[in-house]
Amino acid sequence: MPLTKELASRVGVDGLYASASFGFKNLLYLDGTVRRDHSSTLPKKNSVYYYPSVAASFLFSNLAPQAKWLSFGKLRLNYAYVGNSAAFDQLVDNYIVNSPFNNLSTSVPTIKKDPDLKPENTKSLEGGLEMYFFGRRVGFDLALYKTNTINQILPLPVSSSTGYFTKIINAGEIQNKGIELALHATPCKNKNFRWDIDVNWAKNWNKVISLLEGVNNLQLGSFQGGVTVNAMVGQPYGVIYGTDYVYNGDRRVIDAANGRYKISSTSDHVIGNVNPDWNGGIQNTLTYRNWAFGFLIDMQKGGDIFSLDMYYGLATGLYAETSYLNDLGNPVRDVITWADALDHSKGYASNSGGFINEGVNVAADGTIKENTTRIAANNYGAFGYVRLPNRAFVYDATYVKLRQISLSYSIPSSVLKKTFITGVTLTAVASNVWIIFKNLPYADPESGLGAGNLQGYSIGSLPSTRDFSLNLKLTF
Amino acid sequence: MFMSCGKLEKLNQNIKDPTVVPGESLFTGAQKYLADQMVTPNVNRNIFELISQYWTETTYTDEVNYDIITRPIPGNHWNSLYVNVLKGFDESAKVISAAGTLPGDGPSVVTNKLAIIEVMNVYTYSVLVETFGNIPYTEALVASVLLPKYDDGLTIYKDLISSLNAAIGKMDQTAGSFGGTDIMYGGDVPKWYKFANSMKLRMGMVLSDVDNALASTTVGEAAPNVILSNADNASFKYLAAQPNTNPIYDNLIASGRNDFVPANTFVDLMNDRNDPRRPLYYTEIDTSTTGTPKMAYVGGIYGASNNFLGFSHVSAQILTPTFEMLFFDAAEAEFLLAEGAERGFSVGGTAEEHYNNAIRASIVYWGGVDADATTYLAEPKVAYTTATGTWQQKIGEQKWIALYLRGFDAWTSYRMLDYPILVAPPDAKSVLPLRLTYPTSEQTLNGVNRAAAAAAIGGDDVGTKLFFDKH
Repeated sequence: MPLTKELASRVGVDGLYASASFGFKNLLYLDGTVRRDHSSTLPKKNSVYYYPSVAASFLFSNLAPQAKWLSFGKLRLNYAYVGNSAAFDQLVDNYIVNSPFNNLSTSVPTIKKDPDLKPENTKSLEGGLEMYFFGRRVGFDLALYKTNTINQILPLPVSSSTGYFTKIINAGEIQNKGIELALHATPCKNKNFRWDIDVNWAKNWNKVISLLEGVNNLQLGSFQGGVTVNAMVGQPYGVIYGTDYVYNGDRRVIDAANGRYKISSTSDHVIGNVNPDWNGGIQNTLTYRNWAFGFLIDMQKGGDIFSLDMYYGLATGLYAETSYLNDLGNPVRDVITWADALDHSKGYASNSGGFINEGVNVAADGTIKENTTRIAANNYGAFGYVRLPNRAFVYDATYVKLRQISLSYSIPSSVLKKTFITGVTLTAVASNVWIIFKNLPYADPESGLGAGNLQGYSIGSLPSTRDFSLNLKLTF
Repeated sequence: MFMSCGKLEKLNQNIKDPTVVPGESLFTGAQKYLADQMVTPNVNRNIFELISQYWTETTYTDEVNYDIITRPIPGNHWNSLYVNVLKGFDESAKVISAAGTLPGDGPSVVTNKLAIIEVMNVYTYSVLVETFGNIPYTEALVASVLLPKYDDGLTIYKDLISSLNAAIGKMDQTAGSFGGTDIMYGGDVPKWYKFANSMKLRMGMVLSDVDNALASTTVGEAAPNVILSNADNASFKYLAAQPNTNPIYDNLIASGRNDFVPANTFVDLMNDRNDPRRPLYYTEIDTSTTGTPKMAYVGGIYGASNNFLGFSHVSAQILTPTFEMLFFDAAEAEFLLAEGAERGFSVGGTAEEHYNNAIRASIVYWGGVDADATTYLAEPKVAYTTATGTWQQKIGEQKWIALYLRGFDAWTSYRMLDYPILVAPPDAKSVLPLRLTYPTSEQTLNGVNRAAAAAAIGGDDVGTKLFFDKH
């Protein structure tokens, strides 16, 4: 209903910056910086903020230059304090002008701004150890970090009975800790040929330490199906909530009358976590004279993703999972037939269609038996969202991909000696070549809806593209 | 070298959106959002027309089978009413109060405006209470309270009646109020007075099984001052051009979709009584299998998959962009007076008189003539003395027919009278809803208070009876 509107945003930051570096005998280095920012997007009383950083490194390999096995060794530690300002126009509430209805029509915006907004502060501590051995034939770089952001400027989703959908706040504290490891090896190296392997691996733990007084949940997104992605205090950023099966012990409960899974009455069950266990990659590069061939395998282990495409696609009978031979060897979409049409207690006929959900029936007196009730599969919703909880559509987002292959040729310098050109390299690159392994059916786990903070939801996922390119690099 | 303090902060000014607007414009905005939410048949926002079995769906039959989770229908209803409507009225009242009497206006104009806003607030909150039961009320709409508690539904309803009484008391019918910024009545205070009393009548009747004494007093006070003529109907008149067209037009015509047909439960009942409103409500189709046409009104099978072309369609007059939406009409007021008479409240006149007036008013409103009404009232199944069943059934069924397109009001009436007989479709996800469940997002945004409210009302299920639904 609002009119097509114009937006004019201007942001300004005045920064003053000073840095100092010290070095001592090629062994110890110390860098320090201080920055003062004055931002246009904070209220005057909070608009100037300072932040320092200090970094130290110790090139301990220079202590023992005679040790040939140790080509390079550096220990580094840095501590940085970074301030951050708000986006444009987060302080003063205004009104929305709607399309006129004979007269001027206006509304209150759905976001409540904060006139007392403070800058965000991020404190990060990082330590690293980098070592290379045997003329850089083998080496590693290990980094550990811990980053705490306090007063993060967030649009906090709130109960709409406040009259707003979101409120801009400085929110408590959010923490990220992690490890990043890079390994290098050159197993084979001679005059004409070399083989380099680079492996990297990263794992991040994030956690919401606190939000606002009395508020313990930050809803990152809410979607069709009643599925929400949340950051609860004390939990990682990005837990998926929705409806779940009903359990008896660890078996799923099924309604004996119709063979359908019982579904939880509320949508606040944890059904997934978007954060991966770890990410990693392996790059192999083989160089022979003027040729270089490389390929990169990229992987993610863990992380959950909710697929709205499977939610609807299974219900409409689109996917192969909805048409198969059932436990009796009959097409599952055939009608259900009974051994004795007048007495269903005698069981199903041998030519019956339909399928049996795996789980238990729990009688009113508590007795438990394996479910044997069939469900007809010849109608909309036999599979899919109509009769299943949200959990049925949460998939593991693990993947292994052949991310890139490249082949390059450099014209030998002997050929170029007489020209003004000093280097010519032609490279052929193929990207997103092959998804070697994934769990998410029919979609690329990386092609979800989310961006930035919001991951873990796959809807209308388009196939990702395989790209081919040719590069020519000339140096003069 | 450096910008001075003042100059840098000036960059943060939003030069495109106003920080000051007239309070009346906020009233216009909120009023339209309210009308839209109550009349829209959009399956993401309002399925009362389906729950009340006026219409059924064609290809996609989730909503008519009471799936209110896949599309966040309770959430959209709740959100629209709190954020777009109540907040708008609240802000409108604040700005109008602060502005004081405008030049050229008499002294009671501001009071009248505030009284009218209060009437709209009461209406909106009554819709929320009748939908969900306990809801945030005393702590709602306060930006500093992020976790408002839910108040008891009956307590809120009684407080709403008090507020309504106060607003009615403040109205000065000799003075003006809003002008064209009030799309419902153009600021006509005597008509607002009648609408407010009609609401009071309805709210009093809703309490008749729960607090009979209060119901009796409330109804008795309101009865002489309600809407009795279609000229005083509380309606919202849409415009010819988007985005100000009737949402029914938007969803059934402009969308290019064919999602709805009239339901067989509704059409069959009207066929059974030779109701003259049938051609005004929906179209006839040719049901013959031979060459000779055989026209009839045929409703789609409620809850089932229906081929759009095989059934009657919503009538052309409803599908125009400017078709008005009704908040309250003379027919409804007369039916409520009939119910009041049957309960022994002092409304004046007999139940039969009010019943007849109601049916007459409804037929004329929809485009029929008085003579049609006379013929209709002579039908044995329609005439008050010979119609089947208890007074609840007689009034309930006729009121259902008259409340076409007002699924929400029909739903409340059904829960009070238990007629017409409505049966859930065979594939329904739940029993026939007697309330909507709390929005799913409340579980993560205000979980503790929502859980407390769920316990207090006897469970956050669609089958939980609300405080006024006693039978």
